[in-house]
Amino acid sequence: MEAIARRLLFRIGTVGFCLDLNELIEIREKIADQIDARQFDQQLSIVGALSFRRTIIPVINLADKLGIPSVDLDVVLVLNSQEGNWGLLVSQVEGFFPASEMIDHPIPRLLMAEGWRCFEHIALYAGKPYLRLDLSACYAGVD
Amino acid sequence: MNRKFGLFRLASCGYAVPLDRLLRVADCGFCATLPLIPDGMAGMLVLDGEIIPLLDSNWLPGVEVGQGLSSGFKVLVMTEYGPLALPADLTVGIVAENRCERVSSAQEKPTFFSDSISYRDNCYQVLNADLFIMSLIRP
Repeated sequence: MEAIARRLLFRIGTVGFCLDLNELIEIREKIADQIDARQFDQQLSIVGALSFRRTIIPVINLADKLGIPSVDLDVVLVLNSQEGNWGLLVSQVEGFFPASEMIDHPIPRLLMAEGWRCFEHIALYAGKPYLRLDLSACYAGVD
Repeated sequence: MNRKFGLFRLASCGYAVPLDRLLRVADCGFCATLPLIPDGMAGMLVLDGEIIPLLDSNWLPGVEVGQGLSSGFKVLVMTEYGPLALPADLTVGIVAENRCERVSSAQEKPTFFSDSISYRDNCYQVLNADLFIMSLIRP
């Protein structure tokens, strides 16, 4: 029996995002007091370090870089990448939903600004839009 | 040939779209903002499974910025880059050119709103969709 491909839907502020489940390792909630802010690096959008399975991983806040207004960020998605695990600060996790029920659309030309971007497609699920995060662009692009 | 226009209003200003560019008027759909979009775009309208760029109101002469997402109606026009949604408070209807009067104005306006018409004592600025889209893409 084949597993149903699922995606994680979540929000940073009011903006919806999604990513494939195989990119997610763990969800950590209520982590505000668990982040070591001494590892803060504004240039890299790193808000601090988080202890995770006997390792220390960087936690990245994309809200500022994306221009999303100040938001309540108290959930970390622990994600994998070629460089290793890292954490992404988000506001709210909506849940896991079948990828087959989502329709991906390229971002219309009129909505594409010049410069760095960490999403190329918008997934529609139940009539609502979720940006498909390109994790490699998220992690490599925080410069 | 007698042209026709779709008329609509936003914040007490009147606008006209040539009927051959008017797709429909929507009073439903899901509006959302989107990060990293060009200046002048408010976000997107999700309508019938499609994603349609939504213009912010600052492109419409005489209207303050920020009324794109909150407007009650969206006027969908076809451009060479696909459909584009314009914010509207009120839709007036379709009117034939011979029912309107050309209005000349000394007021300086963007080139894509160079023509104005008067219908039932109200003035409407006519959108030139081709020039308009060029301004959006190459401001």
